[in-house]
Amino acid sequence: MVRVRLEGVSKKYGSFLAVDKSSFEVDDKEFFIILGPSGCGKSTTLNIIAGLEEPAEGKIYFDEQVVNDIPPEKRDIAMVFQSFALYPNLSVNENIAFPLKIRKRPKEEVRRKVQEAAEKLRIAHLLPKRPYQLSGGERQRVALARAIVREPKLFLLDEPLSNIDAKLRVHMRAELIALQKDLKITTIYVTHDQVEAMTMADRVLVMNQGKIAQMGKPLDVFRKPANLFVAGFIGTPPMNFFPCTMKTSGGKTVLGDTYFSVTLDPARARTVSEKAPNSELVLGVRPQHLSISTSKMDGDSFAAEIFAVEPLGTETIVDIKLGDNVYKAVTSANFSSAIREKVWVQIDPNGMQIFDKKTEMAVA
Amino acid sequence: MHSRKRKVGLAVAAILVGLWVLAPLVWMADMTIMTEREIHTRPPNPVPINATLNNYYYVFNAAAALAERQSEGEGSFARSAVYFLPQIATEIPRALGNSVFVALCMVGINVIGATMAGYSFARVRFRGSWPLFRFTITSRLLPPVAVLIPFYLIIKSLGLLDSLFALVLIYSAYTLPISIWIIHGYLQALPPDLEEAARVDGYSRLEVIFNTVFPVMRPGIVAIGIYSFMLAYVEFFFAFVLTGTASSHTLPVIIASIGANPVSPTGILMAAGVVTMLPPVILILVFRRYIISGLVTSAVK
Ligand SMILES: Nc1ncnc2c1ncn2[C@@H]1O[C@H](COP(=O)(O)OP(=O)(O)O)[C@@H](O)[C@H]1O
Ligand SMILES: [Mg+2]
Repeated sequence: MVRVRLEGVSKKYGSFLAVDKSSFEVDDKEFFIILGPSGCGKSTTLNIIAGLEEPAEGKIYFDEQVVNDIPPEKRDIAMVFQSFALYPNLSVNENIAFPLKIRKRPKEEVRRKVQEAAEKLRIAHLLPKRPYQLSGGERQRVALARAIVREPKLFLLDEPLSNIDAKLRVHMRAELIALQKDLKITTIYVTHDQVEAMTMADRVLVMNQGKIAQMGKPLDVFRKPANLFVAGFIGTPPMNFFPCTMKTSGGKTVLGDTYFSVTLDPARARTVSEKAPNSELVLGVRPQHLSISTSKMDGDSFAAEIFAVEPLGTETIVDIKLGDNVYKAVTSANFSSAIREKVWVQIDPNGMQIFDKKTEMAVA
Repeated sequence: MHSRKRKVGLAVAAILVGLWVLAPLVWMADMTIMTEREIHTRPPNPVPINATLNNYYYVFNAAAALAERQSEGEGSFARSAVYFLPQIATEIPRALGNSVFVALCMVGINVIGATMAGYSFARVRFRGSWPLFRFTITSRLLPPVAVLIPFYLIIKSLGLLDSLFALVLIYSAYTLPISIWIIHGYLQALPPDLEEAARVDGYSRLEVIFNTVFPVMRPGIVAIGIYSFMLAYVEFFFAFVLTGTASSHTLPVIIASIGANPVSPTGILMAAGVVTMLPPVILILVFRRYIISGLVTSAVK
């Protein structure tokens, strides 16, 4: 029910730049996720949108209105915190009713809305209890109920799933998506968990050290990471990075170093030589795009040594050693091999991402 | 089996510690209801034969005790319950009032002042907040002797010698730093999420302080209230130097003066001790719920 726009927003703590000239726009009714490692400035960004922190510079818009000078209590937002922040001296009922009571809504309306919100999150039976009597998952639901009870125009969620156990987290992911689509309220969600971002977001913004690293649909970000940071941060197991250079001989362009080489198709080779001539490069390959065999394969394949084998049941992760570096490959569950055995590795040409080593940006 | 032994051991230890702490108090209370002669009987007789509340009467009406001593004549040591009761004992009721008054002033000043200051230091970012906080805290590290003379001169030049207001000023300077430090530490341990949640839920900054922060940190506020009451109530050093007459004498000064006599009426002194204990005991009984909860639980998990 609101579009949120940040324009050149920065935040400093002393001389430390926590958010560096951040500009982005969140669409109406969108589920927007800010993803990044701990300490990259996600919470700070969210708190600036909430009005809990003042930006050092830049403007925040809700639709066409600049809200910089509007205090949080007047922004018509609701927030869920990592610690859930339930009022310890109030019952669950009073916690959920709190935002309505402050706004002096009639008693009957408060009672009805609290009941509705509690039923939506299936916590009606917990209403008389106190926060300290609840489990983590229950507290989290109460915090959500308190957020939705008022039907605000913007939801801000700061790592709401990181304090509950893993199994419940998977379940809550689906519930949160359903809840957001049902309520149709613009949602900005902060997490350090890339799986949450991949599964829940309409669009994701990846942050690193206060800066926007990339923004886009989750699958686009996964398939076309804009830089080494995003490539390494999204996806499990993480992407492999092979340092390499590009060489042309006899009309054939290859990427490689002492231990491996792969042929590059001419179009791609041209892009690379245009964007990063004479540069050192990094070849990024997801573990799913490395195949391993005990015999030599057709096409470009190179020798490596088995370093470790991690069977997961549904698939097996094989760590291979190439020179001094260890890379991961995902193989079928029935792959078996001995440590230090010699194997042949092949890179799927469709799964290659090429980065400039110095600028760390994707080139092709 | 093992844990049972452990429990018994703990119980025995608890009882021993309890006895250690309580025995002198019980003995003291016991002596207040004895006559002076009984107190000095050898060997001592723990259960008084002619229990009397006279000692308490004399505490609040030392003039009567002095008159009685006169009528009995000097030298009748054993019969007189008021042997060598110094004149200053007549100030006890007034001193009790003075002490309670000053102590309650300290509670008010600390609860309001330290809570505000502690909140500001912990939550509001302003230039110089950290140096100011450290200066406030370290000012308390000066030993009282070091500041006694300067304080005396300042109080004298303000024309406040022999006034309760002077004591309130000095005790404020001595209790506020610790109280601010306690509140500051309490708030630092309290995640700001709660206050931020209350902000987005609709409270203004001031409403958050009064409606969200204060209720949650009630144990901390009670703690500084009791701390400042106790400090002011038992303080002797400054009170002895800065007060001169009955108008500003506090209990510690009076009790010390009586006790400083070569021979004093033990029963009356003990009764004065019990009376002195009452205000803090009442205070702690009233707030014991918060003291316990402040000690054993953190407000937010
Ligand atoms: N009140 C503060 N004072 C100083 N530094 C802070 C403060 N709040 C956050 N920071 C710093 O700013 C950076 C970003 O913090 P935050 O936005 O909370 O990160 P996250 O992405 O983990 O939510 C961190 O390095 C943190 O140490
Ligand atoms: Mg955070």
